[in-house]
Amino acid sequence: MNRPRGIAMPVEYSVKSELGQFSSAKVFRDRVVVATIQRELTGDTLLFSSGGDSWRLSQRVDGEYRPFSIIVKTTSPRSNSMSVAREILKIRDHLFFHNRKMYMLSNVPEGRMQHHIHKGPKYICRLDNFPFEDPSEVDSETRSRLRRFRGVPVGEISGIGHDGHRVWLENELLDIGLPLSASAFLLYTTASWKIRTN
Amino acid sequence: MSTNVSPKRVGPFPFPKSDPSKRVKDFSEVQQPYTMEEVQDEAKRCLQCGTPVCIDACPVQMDVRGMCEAVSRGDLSTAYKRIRDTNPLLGVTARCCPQLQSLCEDACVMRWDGDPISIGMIQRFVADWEQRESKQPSPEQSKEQTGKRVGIIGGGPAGLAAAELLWRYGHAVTIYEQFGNLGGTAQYGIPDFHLPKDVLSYEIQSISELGVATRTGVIVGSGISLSQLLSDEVDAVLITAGSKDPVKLDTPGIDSQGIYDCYAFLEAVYGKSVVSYVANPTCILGEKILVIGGGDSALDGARTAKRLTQGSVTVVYRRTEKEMPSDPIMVQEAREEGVEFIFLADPAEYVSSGKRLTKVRMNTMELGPPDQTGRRSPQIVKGKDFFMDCDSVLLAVGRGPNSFLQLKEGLKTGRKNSIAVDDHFKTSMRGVFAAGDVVTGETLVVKAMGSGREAAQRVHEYLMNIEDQHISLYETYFVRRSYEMMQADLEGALPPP
Repeated sequence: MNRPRGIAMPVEYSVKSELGQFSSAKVFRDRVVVATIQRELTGDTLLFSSGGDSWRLSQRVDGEYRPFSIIVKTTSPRSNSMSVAREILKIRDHLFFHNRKMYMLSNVPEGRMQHHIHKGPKYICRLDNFPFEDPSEVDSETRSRLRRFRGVPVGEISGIGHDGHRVWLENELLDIGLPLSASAFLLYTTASWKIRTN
Repeated sequence: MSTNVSPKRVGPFPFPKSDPSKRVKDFSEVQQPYTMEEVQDEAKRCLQCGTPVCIDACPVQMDVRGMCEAVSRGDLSTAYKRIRDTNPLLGVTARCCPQLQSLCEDACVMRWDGDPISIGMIQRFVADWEQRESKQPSPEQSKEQTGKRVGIIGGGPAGLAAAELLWRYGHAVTIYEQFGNLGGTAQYGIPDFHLPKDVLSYEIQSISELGVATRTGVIVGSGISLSQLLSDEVDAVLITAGSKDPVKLDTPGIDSQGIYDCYAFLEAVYGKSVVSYVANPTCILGEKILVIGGGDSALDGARTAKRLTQGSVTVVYRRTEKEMPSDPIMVQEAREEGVEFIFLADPAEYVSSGKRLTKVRMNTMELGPPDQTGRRSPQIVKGKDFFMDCDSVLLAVGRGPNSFLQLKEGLKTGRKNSIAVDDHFKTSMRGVFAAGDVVTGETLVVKAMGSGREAAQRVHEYLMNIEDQHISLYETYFVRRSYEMMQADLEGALPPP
């Protein structure tokens, strides 16, 4: 799989679901399955890594379901108990804070025309001067103007789920690469229920 | 390229347009509609995603997936019912939303491998069909009237969307509007070539016909105070007064004759009708017009001035085209109509002959380090200033929230005198809520509507004393809009919100 454009990014994930399948998907890294995604009837999603780790992903963020928002917590694959859950990633309105830096999924990088986003990949950007340190604390005025913010591209996402949703990441996001890739798949391009063939 | 999707839009990207050489001479609509055959073909391209990101991206949670499913079968009545449930201004938002700018079409998964579905064009077709060919039933109200009364201050998109939802909850709703007509920015600030007034008037009338009362020409805070309103007429107030306050500049010569606030200019042209403005123009534009700013209003002002004068119109923006906040589609349309652009320039001084503006001394700008938004900030290049001759200037450098009421009544304020609200849209005065541009500053029509609907839900919960039972509108529709529900045709069994 070759990246369509941009500078080389060292980490590549691909999330692929079966045609017409909505409830499960596989995550590949370097063409090797590294995790599976399983949607539950509750609406939450479980992510199981090949190494035995597991996470629960929920769109209920800060007390309610929100669009383009997801919270990832560790969980035990046996008990699914949330009592020992540890939050490792919170995305709210495309924004997430990681290692003291704010990032935005689906951002237009600085110096690019807006119409570049009408087709092709979307970007994960680092917002260096962003005035908030927690996505939950962002005020309503800033939230209403998020599309004006431009950042430094540190990731790239593209592709429909059933064809393979590809996520390229810089090293600074490597430690959350797997849950971030699964989140990008769930938030932006889940498998399609109905696939039309030409 | 995927083998499973049909990648191309039916019509030319982004939509069929009228001939620029003809449209620049009148105020007829630029965007041209699809045919029934085209709209069905386009709707069939929808993948019917399990998680409909198009709905996630819509501030009013419009059922895009359900619309495409119904339209693809030729069932416009069902399509209308599905999208009208959460969006009372269908024809307006179909035309005014920049769908490719972080909204439904930008979210559409089809954009990964091809062109996103033309959601706005399909929506427009359904709305126009309902308006012109087949009037459909209005959304239902809750069976039980609550006996509660709500006053909404400001009849713009946020107020209208809130009014309809509060009415559906069973409350008696009155809109208090300062001007003679409802519609706010959609009525007074959006050109006819984007949004024909008959579309807006029809949708406002549909809301009024539900039973929403309207009192126009009323300025709350002047003739009647907020506390009087609360004690005498209503049980709760929602302020949706919009954005109005122009940004004040101190550029030398700013008071010269021939310099106009672009928003006031648009209001003058479109407030009553273009015909009446042409008969009695209030702005002397001349033949060389400069428009300062890079947002949608700057382009609306430039294209309106071009149509009125057929003269030379130039948009001057202090950053480059890459940083322009306006919709790139509008920039392209403006260029087609002969509007010119100058980037990396900013007025340093307005020069007059007598009191009348004759030219502008411009600073040449360059891009420096990124500011808080991540965009590189413009900085003056010393010794590179230049002059531009002009007869008039339209200033479109942003508007702040309409600050009249909060300053008059002593409501707690936030940035730029916006009304400060908590997460429940409550202001510092008990029983008073606020939403839309008066809280967030100037934003999109559909975002103001979304804010208005969310606030309306909070007002309802406050009045019924059920604030601890809050479930967000997004979650409500997240659950209700299940694919199974749609396929089983069970939506009709759903109660009003």
